[in-house]
Amino acid sequence: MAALAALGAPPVPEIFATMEEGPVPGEINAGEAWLESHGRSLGHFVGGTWLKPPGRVSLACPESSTGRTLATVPAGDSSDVAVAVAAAAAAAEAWAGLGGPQRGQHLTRLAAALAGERRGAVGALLALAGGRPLHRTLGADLDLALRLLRAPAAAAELGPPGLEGWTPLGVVALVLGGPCSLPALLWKLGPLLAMGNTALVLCPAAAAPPLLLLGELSREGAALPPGVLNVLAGPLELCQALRAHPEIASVTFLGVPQEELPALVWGSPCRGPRLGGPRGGRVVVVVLDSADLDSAAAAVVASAAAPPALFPAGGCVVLAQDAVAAALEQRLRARLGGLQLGDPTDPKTEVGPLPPGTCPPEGVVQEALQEGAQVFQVPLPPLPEQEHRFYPLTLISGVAPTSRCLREPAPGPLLVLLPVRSPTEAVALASALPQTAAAAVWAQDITMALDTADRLPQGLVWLNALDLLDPNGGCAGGAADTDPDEALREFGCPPWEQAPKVDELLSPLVAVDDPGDPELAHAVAAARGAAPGWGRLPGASRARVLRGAAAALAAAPGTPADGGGADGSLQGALLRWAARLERGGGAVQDVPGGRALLARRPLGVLGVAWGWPRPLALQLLLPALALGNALVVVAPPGGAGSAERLRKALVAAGLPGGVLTVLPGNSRGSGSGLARHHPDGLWLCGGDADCDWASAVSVPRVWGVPAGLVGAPRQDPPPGAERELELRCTRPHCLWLPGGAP
Amino acid sequence: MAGRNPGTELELGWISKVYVNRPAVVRHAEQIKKWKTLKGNWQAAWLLKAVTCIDLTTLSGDDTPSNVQRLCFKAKHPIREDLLKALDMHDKGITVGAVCVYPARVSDAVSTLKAAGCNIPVASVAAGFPSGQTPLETKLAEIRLAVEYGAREIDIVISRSLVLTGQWEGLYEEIRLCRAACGEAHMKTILATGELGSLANVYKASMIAMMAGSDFIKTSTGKEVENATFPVGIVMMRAIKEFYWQTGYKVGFKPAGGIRTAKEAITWLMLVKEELGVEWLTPELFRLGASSLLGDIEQQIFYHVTGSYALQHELAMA
Repeated sequence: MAALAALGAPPVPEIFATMEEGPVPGEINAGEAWLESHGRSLGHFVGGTWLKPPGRVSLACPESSTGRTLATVPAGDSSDVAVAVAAAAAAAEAWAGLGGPQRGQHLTRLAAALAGERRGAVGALLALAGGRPLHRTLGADLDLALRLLRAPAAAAELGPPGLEGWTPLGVVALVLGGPCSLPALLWKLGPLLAMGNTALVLCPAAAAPPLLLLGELSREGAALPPGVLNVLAGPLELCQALRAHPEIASVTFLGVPQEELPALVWGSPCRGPRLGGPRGGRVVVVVLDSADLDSAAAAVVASAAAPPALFPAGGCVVLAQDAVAAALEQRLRARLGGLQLGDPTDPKTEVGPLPPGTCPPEGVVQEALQEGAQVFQVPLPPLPEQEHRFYPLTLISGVAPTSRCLREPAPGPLLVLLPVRSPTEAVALASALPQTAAAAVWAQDITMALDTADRLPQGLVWLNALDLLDPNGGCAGGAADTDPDEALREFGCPPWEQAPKVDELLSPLVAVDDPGDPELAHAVAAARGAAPGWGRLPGASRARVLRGAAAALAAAPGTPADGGGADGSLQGALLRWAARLERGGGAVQDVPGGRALLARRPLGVLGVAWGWPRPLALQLLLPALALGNALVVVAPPGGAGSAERLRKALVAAGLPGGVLTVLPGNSRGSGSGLARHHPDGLWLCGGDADCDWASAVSVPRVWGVPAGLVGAPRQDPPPGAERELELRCTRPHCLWLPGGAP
Repeated sequence: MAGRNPGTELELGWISKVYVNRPAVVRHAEQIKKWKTLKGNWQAAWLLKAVTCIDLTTLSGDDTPSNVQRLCFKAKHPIREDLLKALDMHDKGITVGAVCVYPARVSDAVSTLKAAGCNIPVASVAAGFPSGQTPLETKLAEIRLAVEYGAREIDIVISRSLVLTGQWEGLYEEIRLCRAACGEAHMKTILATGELGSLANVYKASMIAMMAGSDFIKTSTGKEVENATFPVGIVMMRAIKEFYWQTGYKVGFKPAGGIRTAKEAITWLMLVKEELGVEWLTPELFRLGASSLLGDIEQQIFYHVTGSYALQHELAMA
């Protein structure tokens, strides 16, 4: 009873009358305890130990819900960056030399350390600093984080197929724009370490405490050798110091707002830092008239309360078929009212404060109100502190797609409900929404559900579920359209990075003007029109076109009879890709709670800028065409004859007009010109086909094609190149089908 | 119980578009189980609430007047008086919700409770419990007799065959007749969800039972292979909420069968609070059908008050 009195609990009769649930008391917050053990004064974690440079300004690490200072970290500066890079570089050789199986075991040990007795501290710190409720940071988030470590660990241990001969990049920097969830970090960090790179994580002070603990954990039980994982707290501007450092092989940005990127990144998108990480984004939920409305409402409300770990700060847009929109809204309102909002470190809390560094979405909500929308808000419960960062749960309905709440993802527990007339209209709206990371379809009618899910452009689609993530199920599908296979490639150097020795004379470049904007616009528009039809054709039909073209080229006058020469190898390549199409692809993966169908979809419109001083390698275009993309190619006129021959042969064999356009041009920056027309992907071949970052950020996938990949004429492409090309001209499409589990 | 559900006309439209996604419901149930815990006084108060909602049950072939009598005394004194006093709940009339027996044992229970000066209602199972495989006339006669013996609550079972063959009109008529036979006695309709084939059928049967005027819908008899599970409970409560939205009548919910621990009981209360709201957490709208649950709850309360677990002889058996 003494213990009870100490809790300050109301008497039993009072609780009996109100049936309140009360707090979960007693336990000391493990995160606070860890901070206390460091005297609330942390350092950087470099070279396997704490780095506390003297005489530095201290930065405060605030608590997400109140702004109270949890701890301080020294403000990192360029000298700290130098020390950290040196530590990472010193560890790089030994780490790379360990070999995959050994590295895999190290990563497994790191996962064990994370899942061990310190998990409470990690979860509590993530809740304190990031504002995600404890039941997520200690529950689903941690489970996913562990999977995101163990999956690349397993890949390293087994030796990933198709990555023979790949080497690590060296020292890779991960730059966090703001506090990000643990899964979002490990989603990059796991593959990075598994490939044999060493890491330097640069994070703002607000996000530092849990990551510094991760650093400390990496030394526990010697999970990672010293220097393999270094954590540095400092402002985003420290990127300047990274920029100047010659030993940084690659930089990946996580959670940096898109508009800030051009100011931070440098060089060319293909040779400089790599863009990656969840760019944020919303989840679109399509609720059709055969949906289990109660379950859909429960799932939507849960993901509004705590967005999926890889798409933080996104919000949720619900497209409900007219027949069920009202019933769904009623259910959403009822459930929103029942959510518990409060201190994220309380295990009962379902909704935490706004993510740090975000503004309350008040402006968006007010604007919606002025437009005549219905705004339903759950009043905030009485909160102890004056200074708090909570925003009430909000449901906006009755807005048009032009409204700002649909144009811009707003952070916070915000739901927007939009009625649609049909599944087709739902797909159209879901395709037109900016910055969507994933989608869900709710319908019990299996045909209707599959038809709808298949047409959604999002890379990750859940059927009758929301917020299920696993690396095996292409969990990052929505975030940056990367599957686990690609995740490893992102941090490796392929064997064909170096250009092959070409003994023939390079064709002299003929100076021509780049295609004008109207010309490009015309070509891209034609490609955009033709792409869906071509991309949706069955593989066998596209194979027929390729084989037809090969036959036409063989019969064309001027072809050497022995089948040699450039045209001969082109025919061979056409037939090879036709064969690949006939074979098909795709996979089924077991995932928690069911299975996921993994397929690869064409990107859509692919821009290719050719800048190497030799004729356009037509073999490079074939996989992109074969796998269903429409191409706009800018290349110097040298060798234009064979390109035109190929195009004619393809068109004669049934290639729809607009799918392949080759325009003459070769001045520097032809890539930028293409990028400004927003293709779905951009291949930059050679330094002369450069592209500036300001243009590139609008293109989802930019790839600097390594010179060695194309091979010299009359030379077979290097082994593994075909797989690489296949991945580069397609994106994963993951469809989760829950069910079947007990 | 103000505003007893009078039932409605048979509205087949309410069940024609019912879809239940099992994996989603199961996942929802798992999430609730995982993260909710209560501590200290909150736990004690919730456990006492659970006690007031228990239908203390004995449904065995070897029931006799003596064990029914024991059950009735336990129903009146579910928690040791000194424990209640320590929690300041001794004057709040903490008894179980009802005593639930077979029709043949109703008179024993009624007379015992009357002799003890106690107003706890006696509930009787009826209508061919547990299988429901008796002729309708027998079912109705059984209900009338149970009421005549003094049962104030009747737990009927439905004919599962009517659900499995989709005879919704027949099901509606049957339950309606049972309700008429109950008269003033409150009717709990046992759906026997473990034998209905699908969660959609559970939802539809729930709606039909409420349209036909059930005061409560109840998961199982305790005799099926699959008893009260959380996914089934969630689906039934969602139907109750829908019926409330459609008609304005609050129908009660009774999970029964296989509920043995205090922890499970609290999870059920939590689930009711989440799906239906706190106003459902009263014996008028929520019951737990259980026989051994009370022992575990009393044990937990004993621990809460004294800080140690009770020896066997320290708590009276039912």
